Amino acid sequence: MKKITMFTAALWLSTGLFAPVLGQDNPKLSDEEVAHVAVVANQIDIDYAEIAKQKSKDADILKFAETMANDHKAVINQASDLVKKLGVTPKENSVSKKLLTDADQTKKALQGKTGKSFNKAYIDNEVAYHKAVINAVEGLLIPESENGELKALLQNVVPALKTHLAHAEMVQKMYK
Amino acid sequence: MKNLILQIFIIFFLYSCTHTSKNDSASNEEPYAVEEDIPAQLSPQKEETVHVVEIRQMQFVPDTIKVHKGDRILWVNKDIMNHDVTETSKKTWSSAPLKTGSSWTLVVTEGADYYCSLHQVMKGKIILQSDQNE
Repeated sequence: MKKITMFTAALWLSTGLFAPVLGQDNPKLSDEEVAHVAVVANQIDIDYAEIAKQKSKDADILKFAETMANDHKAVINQASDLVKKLGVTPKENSVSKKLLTDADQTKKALQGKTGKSFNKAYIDNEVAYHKAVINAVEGLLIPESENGELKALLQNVVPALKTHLAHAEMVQKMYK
Repeated sequence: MKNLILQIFIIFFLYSCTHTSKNDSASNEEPYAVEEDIPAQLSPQKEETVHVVEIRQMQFVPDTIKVHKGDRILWVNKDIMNHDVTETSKKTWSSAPLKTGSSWTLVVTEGADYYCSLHQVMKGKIILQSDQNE
């Protein structure tokens, strides 16, 4: 039997992180809660990028991480401007709490890696995380958004997430 | 009384000479918020062609463009993320990262494939047309 490493377990958790909320039991989220999930999901990928910038010396990984940090900051800025305009306050909820709990495990697993092993773990997680976030945005956050501008912002983010996924898969091939 | 009427007439005449209509001023508005100044030779009087490629939703639109040698291509970033425009094979030319609303111009000397080096799956193509191909 294959030994399941801590990182493999964390990665499995991250790929399934939205699974309980994308079935028939989708939670009902207010716009304030949708906004909070959106901001948290973007901040988590910025945090992963910061770990990569500290631990990796690989040019492709560093450039990818820099792009992730900049792009997700741009999305957070857009979301922050919108919630100010709408006069709503993002509200913590079960989905955003689960995201943060799972991200803590993944961060610990990443911190325990070095060199090529870290590069592979980081990019594998980026592929898995973007797949999970795309599913969550399309399957949960967009349908749950009532405000048209919030819904439009989320719809506008999907092409960026899909481009990030394709880019991550391209980099991932270098570490097979 | 005659003087008063004359004064009113002069004021009205001067006002009408110094104010353009709303439609006149609207027609002079630039369609894009361009960060770089467009050189004087881009003016229509020189009969040079400027092709506009918009960057939006993580795509170059259009992603393939047919131009003549000496034409200019103006890339305008309408996305929320930064992008750049970089020649693919040898990085012969590249813009700096373009923020939202800013733009970059290239005078075309040859056909090329290009991409965004920040998002390497974003690709575009410049096809050089000869006059005979028209």
